[in-house]
Amino acid sequence: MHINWLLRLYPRSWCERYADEFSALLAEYPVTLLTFLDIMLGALDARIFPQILLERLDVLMQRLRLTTFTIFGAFVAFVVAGMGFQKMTEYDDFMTLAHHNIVVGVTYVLVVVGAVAALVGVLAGGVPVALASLRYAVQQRRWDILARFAVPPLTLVVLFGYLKLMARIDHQPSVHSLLTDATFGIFVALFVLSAFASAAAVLSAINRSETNERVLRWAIATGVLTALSMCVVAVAMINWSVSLCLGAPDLFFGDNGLLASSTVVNLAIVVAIIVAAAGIAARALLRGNRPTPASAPVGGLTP
Amino acid sequence: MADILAELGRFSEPALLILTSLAGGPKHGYAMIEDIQQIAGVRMEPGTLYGALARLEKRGWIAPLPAEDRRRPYRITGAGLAALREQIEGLSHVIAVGQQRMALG
Repeated sequence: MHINWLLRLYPRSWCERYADEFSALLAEYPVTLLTFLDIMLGALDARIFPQILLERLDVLMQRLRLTTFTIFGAFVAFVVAGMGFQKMTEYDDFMTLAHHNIVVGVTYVLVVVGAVAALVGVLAGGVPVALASLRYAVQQRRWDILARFAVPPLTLVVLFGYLKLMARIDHQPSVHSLLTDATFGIFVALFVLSAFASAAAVLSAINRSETNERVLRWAIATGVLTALSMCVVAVAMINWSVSLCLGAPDLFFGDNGLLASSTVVNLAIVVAIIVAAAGIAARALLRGNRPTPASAPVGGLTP
Repeated sequence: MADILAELGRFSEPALLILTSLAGGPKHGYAMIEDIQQIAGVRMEPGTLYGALARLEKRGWIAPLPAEDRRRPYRITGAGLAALREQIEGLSHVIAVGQQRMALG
């Protein structure tokens, strides 16, 4: 089977070095569906880690970048799920309960405080990294990096444009009309897509820039605050859910989720994402702070 | 036990198999895949093979030789042999302890 076209998925630098021998291998190799998937994964890997070909692989820097990126990626998922939680709990019933049930009230405040602390951690660590990357892009006239930094403001414009447009179209008095639900559903999908596209674009931009070790180390130090805060939020949210179930079962088993869907199902999804994001961030920090094996040589051929 | 290949993430196991294969002499990609299938019963896919080869080459653990009709052989370097030796010793220790404990149980 002729599958050399898959080589186009790899970055140019990779192709310059390996395409010839790789296509010679594919000519002999019995190709299966798994081969397709494996080559696509290989191309993705070569694009995510272009530095394995462009420069000597610095194990320490690679690890610092991976840790920073993982924490940031986990934080984006955390924010998306957290906004779902915020949207769900903005109803008066939840707010009233938070004022009357002390456990629900305290855990809710903990969720909010934890979320703000996590955001502070990300901003404190992420802004210097992003600025260093932007400076590098401007100095080196790297338009590919600058284009990636343009993705978050562009997605914001698209989101605001969509909201403006929908505000003009939708004048129906019913809260949950078909049009309102469809409009909101599309908005949620657009929001999630924008969040992940922006995060991927910024991470890709930083990955293509030369960032010094000091800035990355600072980002990881502030990442401790982010990961810890995310863990606090995860625990507080679980407690909040249990307190809600015990203190107000009619609310817990009601339909106060997004688009009047089941509260339990919404809550289960949000909590699962928050717990997973907190776990991933904490694990990344623990792995990132392991000592680098002294015996791992970096670059340089030894005959 | 320091796992020096752990830095390679999902490529650590393929890297160990490649180093083991090249310890027996220089080979090109397809020959490595066949050799690895013979010694470990694992069919390594091309994308994984080249992801691991690129990383091993950058670490200086393997080195490319002149291409023969588009097929490029690789050889293991001194640093690669040292890394392989360290990894095998670590694994041997785990195997020995495992066998000892199973014998006790």
